[in-house]
Amino acid sequence: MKRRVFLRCLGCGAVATVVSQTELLPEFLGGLQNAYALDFTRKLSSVEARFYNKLDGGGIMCGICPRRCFVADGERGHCDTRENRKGIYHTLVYGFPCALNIDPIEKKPLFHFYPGTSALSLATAGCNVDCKFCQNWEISQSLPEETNNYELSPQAAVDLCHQRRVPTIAYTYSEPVIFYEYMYDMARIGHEKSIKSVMITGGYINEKPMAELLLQLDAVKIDLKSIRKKYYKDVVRGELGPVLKRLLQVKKSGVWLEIVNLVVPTLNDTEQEFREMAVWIKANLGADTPLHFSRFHPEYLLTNLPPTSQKTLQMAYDVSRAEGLEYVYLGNLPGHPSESTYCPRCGVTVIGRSGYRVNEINLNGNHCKNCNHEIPGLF
Amino acid sequence: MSRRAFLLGFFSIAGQVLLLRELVSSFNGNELFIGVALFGWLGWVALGAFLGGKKNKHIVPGLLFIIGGIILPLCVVATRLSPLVVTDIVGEIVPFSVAAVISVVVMLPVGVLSGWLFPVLARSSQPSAGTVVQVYLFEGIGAFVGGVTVLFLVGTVLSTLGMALVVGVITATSPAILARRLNGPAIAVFIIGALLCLGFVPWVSTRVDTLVDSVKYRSYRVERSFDTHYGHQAMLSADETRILLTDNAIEAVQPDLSAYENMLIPPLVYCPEARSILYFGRIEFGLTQLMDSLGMFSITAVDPRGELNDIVEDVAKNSSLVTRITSDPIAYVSKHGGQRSFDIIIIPADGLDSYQRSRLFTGRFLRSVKSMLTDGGLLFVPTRYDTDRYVTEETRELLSAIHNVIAGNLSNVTFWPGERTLLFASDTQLFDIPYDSIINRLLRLEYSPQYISDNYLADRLDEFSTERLISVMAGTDITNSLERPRLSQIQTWYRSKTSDLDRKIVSSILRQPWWLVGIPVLILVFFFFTLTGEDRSRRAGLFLYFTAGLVSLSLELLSFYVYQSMAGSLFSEIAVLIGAFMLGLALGAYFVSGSVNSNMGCYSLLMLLAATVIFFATYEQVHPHLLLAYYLLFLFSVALGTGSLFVAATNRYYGTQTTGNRGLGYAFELVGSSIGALLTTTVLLPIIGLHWLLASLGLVLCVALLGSLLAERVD
Ligand code: SF4
Ligand SMILES: [Zn+2]
Repeated sequence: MKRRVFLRCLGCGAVATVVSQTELLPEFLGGLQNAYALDFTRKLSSVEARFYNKLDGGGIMCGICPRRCFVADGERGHCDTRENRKGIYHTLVYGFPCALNIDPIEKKPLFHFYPGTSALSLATAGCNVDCKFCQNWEISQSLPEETNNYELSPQAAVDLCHQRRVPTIAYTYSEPVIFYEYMYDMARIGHEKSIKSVMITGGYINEKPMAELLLQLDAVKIDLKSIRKKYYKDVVRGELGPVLKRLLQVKKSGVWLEIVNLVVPTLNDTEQEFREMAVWIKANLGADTPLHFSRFHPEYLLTNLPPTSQKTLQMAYDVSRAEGLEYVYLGNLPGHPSESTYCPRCGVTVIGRSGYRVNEINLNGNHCKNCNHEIPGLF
Repeated sequence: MSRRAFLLGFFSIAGQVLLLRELVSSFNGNELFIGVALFGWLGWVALGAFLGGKKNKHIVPGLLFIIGGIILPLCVVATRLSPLVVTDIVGEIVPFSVAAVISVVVMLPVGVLSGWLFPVLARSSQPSAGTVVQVYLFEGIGAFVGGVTVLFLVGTVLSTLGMALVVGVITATSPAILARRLNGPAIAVFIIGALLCLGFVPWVSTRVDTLVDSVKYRSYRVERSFDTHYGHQAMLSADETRILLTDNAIEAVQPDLSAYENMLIPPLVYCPEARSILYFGRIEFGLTQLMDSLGMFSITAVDPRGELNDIVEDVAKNSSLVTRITSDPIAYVSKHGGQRSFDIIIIPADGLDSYQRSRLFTGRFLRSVKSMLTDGGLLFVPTRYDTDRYVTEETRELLSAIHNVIAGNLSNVTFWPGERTLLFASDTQLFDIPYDSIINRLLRLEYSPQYISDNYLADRLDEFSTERLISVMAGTDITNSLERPRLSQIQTWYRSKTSDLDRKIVSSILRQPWWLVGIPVLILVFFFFTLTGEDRSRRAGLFLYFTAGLVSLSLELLSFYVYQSMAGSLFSEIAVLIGAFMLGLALGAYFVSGSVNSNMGCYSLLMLLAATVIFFATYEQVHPHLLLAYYLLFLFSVALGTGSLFVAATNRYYGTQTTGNRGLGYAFELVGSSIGALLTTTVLLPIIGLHWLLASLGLVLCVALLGSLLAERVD
C-alpha cells in the first residue's frame, strides 16, 4: 500500500480496512513513522527538576505546586512524574508526552485567541490533583511508564509545528504543571521560533514557577472548578485559594486569560454558586474575562452521574450574564447562540462558531467591525 | 430433624441468592465480584459448620432460625445502603476492593448461621454418619425448593427486598410450627398471621425500595424503584433529565443527544440506503426520538427486560417504527440467525465487565449476527472508549480484542476515533469513501445531526487521532472467545485504574498469573497430607469432601457460563438447571445413603470424571434445540456424582463414629466449593481457557481416585 492511499483513507476514517489486511501493515506504518517520526516508547526521562529544595537525609521538598511534596530518596511525588534519585529530583516525563494532537484552538477552549487556528496539543501522564470527575482520568491516573508515549523533544515539537504549519503549542489534557520543565523549555524555544504557547491548567501551581512561566506564555486557560472551598476539598482534593491567586497573577501579568467551569450535576450546579463565581470574576478579573461553562460527561469515579443538562447550562449562562460578565460561553451545545462571540456594545456577532468551526469573524484587529468597540483577546 | 433440615436448605439458599443479587445490584458487580462474594459466603458457612460442629456448642436450632429470619432482610437493606458509607458523593462508584470487602462482611451473619445449623441439626438426633447424610439430603431438597422459588418470584412478583422479607417471615415463624408443641388453633393463628404478613410484603417492599433509593440518590427524585430478573432498576429525575439506573449504574439518560447521535447516525454514513436496523439494547432514551426524526427506518430492539417496556413508556412515546423484542440477544440470534433481514445491526459495547454482555463479542455470536445482515449490510459497534486524545494500554487491548474478533468474521473493519470510539464492519467494501462524501451523505439525511457533523468530524477524524489508533492496535492478537473470554478481564483491568488498591490487586491477580502454579501445589500437599499418618484411610475422606466441593461447583459454574453463552441468559431455564442440580445432589445422597459399598467413592469419582470428559468432547456440538436437555442431563449427572461422593466421604471419615466435629467434613466440602467459586469462571477461565480448565478438573478427579484406591489398599 502506498502512503498516499493511506492518507486518503485517513481523511475518511476508512482505516481498519487496512488494519485487517495485516500483511500490509509494516510497510504502511513504516511510511507513517517516516512521515512524522512518531514512535511509541515506555522510556522515562531523567532531567533534573526545577524549584525543589534539598533536605537533610536525602529527601527533597518540591516547590512546583501547593502540595509541596516531601519526597524521600527513591520515592515519587504525589503526581508520580517526579522522582528523588539520591537527593536529586528528576522529572520523568520530559520529552515523553502520551497525548499528541493537532486540535482546533476552540477545543481547548480558547475563544479569544486567534480564532480558527490550531494548536499542537500535548500532555504527559499524571496529575497533581485528584478530581473525581476527571475527564482525562485514563492518563491522569497512569504512571508515565504505563502509557504509550511519544518521544518528542521541545525542539522536535517546535519543528513539528513548523512542518505542519501550526502556530501554537497547547499544554493541555491532564495537568501541564506536572511537566513544568518540559513545558517551559518548549514555550521558550517556541518563542524564539515564533510559535506561541498556551497553558490549559487547573491553576494549582505556586507563584514563583508561574511567574517564570508566564514570561514564556501567550495565553492561559484556568479551570476554576468551583468557587467553593468545600468542593475543592471534597471533589478536587486540592485547594481553592492558590487557584484564585493564580487567576489574579495571570490577569496582572497581561497574559491572555480565559476561565472554564465544568458544571457537574448536583455538585456545583446551583444558581447561587454560579452567581458567586460571576461576581468574583467581575470584581477581581473584570467583566471582559471570558467564562466558559463546559458540560460534564460521566467519567472516572463519577460514572453514575448524568451529563449536565442543557437547562442547567442555560441557567449558568443567564446568571453570569445577568451579573455583568460580557463573554460567557456554553461548551458542546452545537447550535446554541452561546457558541459565538457578540459585541457587548452593539450585539453584532463578532466571531460566529459552530462546534469547533469558526464561520465568520467580523473584527478589524481587536475592534468590532460594526461599532468599533474593542474586543479583548489576541486576534 | 428432616423438616428443619429442609428449612435450613430453603433459608440458606434463599439467603445466598438474595444477598448475592443485592450485592451485584448495589455494586454493579461482575463475575469476579460474584466469585469473591460467593467465596465469602462459602467461607462463612464453612466456619459456621466448623464452629457449630464443636461438641460443647449447644444452641437450640429454633432460636437460630428466628435470628436468621430477622437478619436476612436487614442485611439486604444494609447492603443497599452501604455505598453511602464508603462514598461521599451521590453517583460515585465504589472501588472493587471496597465492594469486595463489603460483600464478604455482609455475607457473614447469614452465612455463619447457615453453616452453624448444619451440624446442630445433624447432632440433634442420633449422632452417626447417617444423620450427616440425612441432613445433607433434606437440606438439598429444601435448597431445591428455595432456589427455584426465589429465582421464579424475584423480579416478577417481588423485589429482592420483598423476597427477603418473605423468606424472613417463613424462617422466623416456621420453627414454632415445626416444634409441634402448639395446638391446632395456635397453628392456625400462626399461619393466618404469616399469610397476612406475606400479603403485605409486596406493598411494604415497594415503598421501602423507593424509600431506600430516595436516601441513596438524595439529589434526585426517585420515580420508580423495582426489580427485574436481571437486577435492580430505578428511574430518577432532576430538572429535565431522566435517568435509568440499572444495578446502581447509569444505563441511559435523557436528553443526551450526543450519545444517541453516536449510536445511530454514523452507520448511516456507510449504509445510506438502510431501511431496517437491529439494535441490542433499550431504545427508549433518545434513540426513538432520533428514529422519528430520521423517519425512514424500522428498528427492532432486543432486550430481555420486558418489565421495562411499560415503565419507560412515558420517557419515549411508542413509535410505530420501533419493534421491541423481549429476549436475550443470544437467544434471539440463535432463533433468527440465517434470516437476512437487517441492513444495519448495532451492538453497543457496554457493560463488558460481565460475561452477559462480553459474550456478544465472540466468534460464535458474530457468525450468527453476520447471517442476519442483508447483502451490503453493516455491523456497527459503538463503544464508550475514549481515543480522542490518546489511546491508553487498557483501551488498546479492549479495542483490539473487539476489533480482532469482528475482523475474524467480517472482511472489512474500520473505526472512528473520538470520545466514543466507533467500529464498523461489513463483508462489502463500504468504507473507502472520502471525507467530503461522508459530509454530503450526512447532509442528505432528513435530520441534521448536531454532533456527527462537519463541525466536529473534521477534528474527530483527523490524521493524528486515526494514525495513533492504527499504530497502537497494530500487531495485537488479543481476542475474545467462548473458550477463552478475555474481554471482561481486560475491562476489569481498565476500570481498576480508578483505585490504586484495585490496580494492585487486579494487576497481580489477573495480569501476572504465575501464582496459579500454587493451586496444584496446594492441592497436592493437601492430598499427600490426607494419605499420611495412622488414620489415612479415614482422612482420605477429607480429600473426597474437598474434591466434591471443588469439582461440583466448578462444573456447575462452567456449565452455566457455556449454557448462557450458547442459549442466552434465560432466567426460567437457569432456575430449572439449578433446580436439577440441587435435586441431583439430594437424590445422589439419598440413593447411596444406605449403602456400605466401600468402592462407592470410586464410582462417584468415575461418574464425575465421565461427565467432565463427555462435556469436554461434546459441548460444542450440541444442537441449539437440545441445549436445555443436554445441560439438564449434565448437571444432573454431576450432582448425582457429587451427592454420592459426599456420602462416600462421610462414611469414610465418620464411619460409625459418634464423636468428633460433625461439621468438619461439610466444612472441607465448602472450602473446595469456595475455591471453585473464587477462581473458576472469574480468574482461570480467561487465563487458561475452558479446555485446560476442564482438563485440570479431570486431573483433580484422577488424583482423588488414586487417593481413594490407595486408601482402600490400606483398609
Ligand atoms: S508537582 Fe508533583 S511532586 Fe511537585 S509538589 Fe506538586 S504534586 Fe508534589
Ligand atoms: Zn459592536
